[in-house]
This record gives sequence, C-alpha cells and structure tokens, in this order.
Amino acid sequence: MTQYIIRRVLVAFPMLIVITYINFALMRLAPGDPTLFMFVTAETQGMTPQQVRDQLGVQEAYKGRGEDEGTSNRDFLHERLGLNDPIHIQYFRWLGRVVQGDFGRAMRTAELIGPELAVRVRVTIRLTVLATLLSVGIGVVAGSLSALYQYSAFDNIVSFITYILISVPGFLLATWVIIIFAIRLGWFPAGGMYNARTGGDFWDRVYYLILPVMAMGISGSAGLIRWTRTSVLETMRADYVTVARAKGLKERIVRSRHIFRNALLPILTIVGRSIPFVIGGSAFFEIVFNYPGVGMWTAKAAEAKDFSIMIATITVTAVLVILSNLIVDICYCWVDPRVTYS
Amino acid sequence: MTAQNENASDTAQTLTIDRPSLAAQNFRLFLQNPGAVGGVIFMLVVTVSAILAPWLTPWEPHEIDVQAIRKPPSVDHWLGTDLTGRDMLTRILYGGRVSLLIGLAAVIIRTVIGLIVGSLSGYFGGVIDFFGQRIVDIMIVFPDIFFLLIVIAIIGPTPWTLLIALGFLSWPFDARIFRSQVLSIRELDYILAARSIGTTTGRIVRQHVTPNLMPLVLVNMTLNIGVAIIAEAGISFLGLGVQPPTPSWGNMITSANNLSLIQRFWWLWVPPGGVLVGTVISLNLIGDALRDILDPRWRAS
Repeated sequence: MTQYIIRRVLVAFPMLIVITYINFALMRLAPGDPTLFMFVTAETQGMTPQQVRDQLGVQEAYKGRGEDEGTSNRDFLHERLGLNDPIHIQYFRWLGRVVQGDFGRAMRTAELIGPELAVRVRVTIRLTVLATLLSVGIGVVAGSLSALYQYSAFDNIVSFITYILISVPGFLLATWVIIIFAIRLGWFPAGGMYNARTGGDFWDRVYYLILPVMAMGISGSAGLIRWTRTSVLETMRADYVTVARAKGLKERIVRSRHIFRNALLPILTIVGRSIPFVIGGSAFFEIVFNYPGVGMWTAKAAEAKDFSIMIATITVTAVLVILSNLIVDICYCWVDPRVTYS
Repeated sequence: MTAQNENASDTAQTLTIDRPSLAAQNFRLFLQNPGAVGGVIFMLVVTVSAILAPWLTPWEPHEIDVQAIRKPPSVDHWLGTDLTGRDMLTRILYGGRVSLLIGLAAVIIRTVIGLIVGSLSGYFGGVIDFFGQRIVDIMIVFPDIFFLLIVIAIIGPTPWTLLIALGFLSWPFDARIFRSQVLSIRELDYILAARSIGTTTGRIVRQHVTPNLMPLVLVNMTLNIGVAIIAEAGISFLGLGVQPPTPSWGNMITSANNLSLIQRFWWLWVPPGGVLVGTVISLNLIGDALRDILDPRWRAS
C-alpha cells in the first residue's frame, strides 16, 4: 500500500503541472496588456507619476497613460517582467515563485495574493468538507431507506425531491434557504462568516456556517441519494444475500453486514468523483451567503479579468482536487482490502 | 407477454409471427411510463413554443415599456412585466430559444468528441488509449466551472462562446463512459466471431459496435441537455453567461435572484425558474425511462 501511495503522489505532480501550464498559457494568450493594468491601478490609487515610476521600477519619465512616453515605459516593463520570453520560460519562472508561496500581486489592487489566498483556502475547505459530509449523510440514509422500502410512499417522495434537487440551480436554492431560515424565521444570519461587531468566537463562526453548509449539502445530496438507492437495490438481489437469509440470519444482520456494508463502500469512489463539482459549485454558495472563499474570489476575478488572481486560485483549486482524490483513493484502499492497485 | 408464454407450448411458429418488432415493444414500454410521457409532452410544448415565439406573442423581447414596470400578470401581459417593463412571457419564449439551443448544441459537441475519443480509445487501445485517457483524466479532475470562467473571461460572454465552451469542456465525461462501453462490447463473443471470419473493422464498427453503443449515447444526451441548461443558468449567475438584453432562462432567474425582488415579485422568477426546472426534470424523466427500457440489465427488475 505504501508503494501505491508513493506512485499515486508521483502521478499527481505531472498532472498538476499540465493543468497549471494550460491555464497559465491560456491567460497569457488573453487579449489585453498586463502592464497596462499596473499603470491604471497606480493611477486610480492616486499616485503621482513619480510614485508610479518608483513602484514599477520604470526608469524613464512616466507622465501618464495614453501619452507617448507610456509606450516606451511599457516596453521597458515587458522586458523587465520577462513578458517577452517564451511562455514555457515564463511558466517555470512563475512556478518557481509559487513553490515558495509567492503568488504575486493582484492586477487591479496591487495587493499581495498569497496571504489572502491562504485565508480563503481554509474557508473553502471548511465549507466543502462539511457540506460533503452532510450530502453523504443525507444520501446514505435517504437512499438506503428508499431502497429498503422500494415503491413505498417514502420512496416516491424521496425520488420526487431528488428530481427537484437535480433540476433547481444551486444559487436559487441557496437564496430560498436564506429567505426561509434567515429572513422569515430569523434563526440564522443571512450571510457572512462571523458577527462583525463582536469579532466572532468559535461558536459564532459555527453559527454562521450552518446555513451555507445546509444549502450546499442538500443541493449536493441528490446524486448520492440516487446512487445509494441503486446500489442497495442491486446488492439486495445478490446471491450471497439470499444465502444469508436462507441460512436463517436475522434480517437486521443481513442488512447491516451483507447489504449495507457491500452496497455503501463504493460511495467513496462516487464522493471522489464529485469533488471537482463540489469545489467548483462552492463558488455559488460562497457568493449567495457572502462567505469569502476561493470560489467566490475566482468568479469575481473572472468578472474583473484579473488573471493574476485567477491563476492563483486555479492552481490552489487544482491542488485541492488532486489532494482530495488522493485521500479518497487511499481511504478506499484501506477500507476495502479487496482492491489491489497494480 | 403472458399470452405469448401460454401459446409457446403450441407451436414455435405462431410465436415468431405474432411478436411485434423490438422498436414497437420499446415504444409500448415507454408509453407505460407516465413520467416519461409527461416529460415528452412538456418538452414538445416548450420547444415548439420557443421556436414559434415571434408568432405567439405580440410583444418584442427587448421592448421596454416604462409605463409598465414590474406589473403583475394581467390580460395584456400574461406573466407580468420585468424590471424594465418587458413582457415576461415573451422573454421566456425567446429565452427558451437561447437556453435550449445552448443545451442541445453543447451536448452535440460533447457527444461527438466523446464518441470519437471514447470509441477510438476503447476499440484500439494501446498508445491512442493511453494518451486519450491522460487528457480525460486531467480534464475531469479540474472543475469545469473554473475552466469555463477562464475561457469566457478571455473570449467574452456570448451565447456562442458559452455553448462551444460547455461542449468542449465536458466531453471527457462522455469519452470515459463510451470507452468502457466499447471495451465491453469489443469482448463480446459475436464480435470475436465476426473478426475470426475476417470481417473488416469498419463493418464490425458499423454493424455490431454502433448499434450496441447507441442506447447509451441516447440516454446520455438526454440527461446532459439538462446539465448544460443548468450550467448556463449558473454561469449567468456568475455574470459571465448570456448577456442582457438577450434573454435566457438563466439570466432571467439571475436578474430576480435577489433577496428583496424574489420575495416581492414572484412573477419575475417563478415562470422562468419553473420552465427551467420543468425542462430539466422532463429530460431526466425521459432519460431514466429510456435507460430502463434500452438497458437490458435493468429490464429484469
């Protein structure tokens, strides 16, 4: 198994490189001059030409955007930032900095990306892990009961709700969760991470986390409910279940040891496969609940075309997905000894 | 069926003569599924009315009426008017053209690419399979929505970018499914038999592989149109979908998806939301019914 883990980790690296390289190259191909943003940013922050020149390290006189001098300054900056080099050289230079935790600065605000990224990643991990656990919980319970009582009223209601959940866009569901539980009932806050006035202790943060996790967990449970129902139904028809009953085992034992144990184990694979969707979908819930994670940042950066933030969030997302897939695979290898990875 | 089984003891001849064609049997099974029939009717109504939109409504989708802003449903405006006084029903009909077109076109693109990559990978194996599967692995692992955001941020949000991006980003899922299906078909005894008597690859693919693959392709396409329509709504919500004033179901829901509007003016979001949800549910009902009918492994139950 150790060998398996080592090999999986080794495979993960080239994958990461390819994903980030494609994204990096795509963004470099984007129209628009990245250095233009720097001048615009500096100007909107009310810097004098002298300050702009100092900050950007432009030696020639910088008088302002749009003037003739701007062009030569831009050429100088391109040369200095290495934007004239081939993309793969730019990429490896960038990779070298990222490995050291330096994600550069945001194009528009010129703020360092690294520190904010570190905070937002933790937020997104918290949200997605809890929501996934809730989805799995709902999926296993509702799906198993549906299968045990196939064609009952409960089964019909669950399958109806599942169809609705598959079809309703996540953001609409999230908005209604806020309206019902925050505005109408007033049980939970409508958004944010903690009470801004008191600063927020641990329980306060938990309190603010409940609604987004609930919305995201319910929204993601539909697929798992369906999968669990099918899997349990299939297992119930297996020969060894008939044998177990025939040899007089109690129904309770047959269900827990023979049906559920075999039917539910592969759910790990399903969860693993859904990780990219969960992390991508997290953006919607972060935005509706004003819960500032990586997804929200990516969406906002895409809208503002801030490619330096986007490449940072996308790199981190890729790492997150690959890491969690790795964890899922290792767990599966651990709980199901039959699985041999050769 | 029971009648046929009783007759079976008589003569084998009557049995073969009386039996309806497979297509007719399947069609009858489909009609016995009320959800699927309801789904087909809903989809027909929605599609036909979207196509006939200009002849069904007296209003124009971009026609602004400052006299009638956010008016509830009335005789003039059956589903009320939106934030700038445009007729909601008209915009839903025209929005249906955009949303359905995006759904259908994206699915055709992903299915065609998925079929090509998946069947080449599955049938020939070897180097083609290795590289095909590595591309698939990489594309599946990365969240589609973020790829979409990059592509749209670079090219700009038009309906065409959206459907092309949706199609080109989601084919790996199809490729993976089709590949495993082709792999299992390839090992079937009659394919081996066909190969052993010297049938050409082209003929095997046409006569044996394709017919076995088609049910899966059909079911998959039906379900994925819904996926693409929801994706369009999501991207609209992130501000990079179909840009107003062009209506799509997604951007109509998004424009009303605000804590105050959504509570005060139900007609701004219930009709477009209802049509979108109805469409996706219908497609799922149809897809599930097709799967139950066309996949023999399921028919036993």
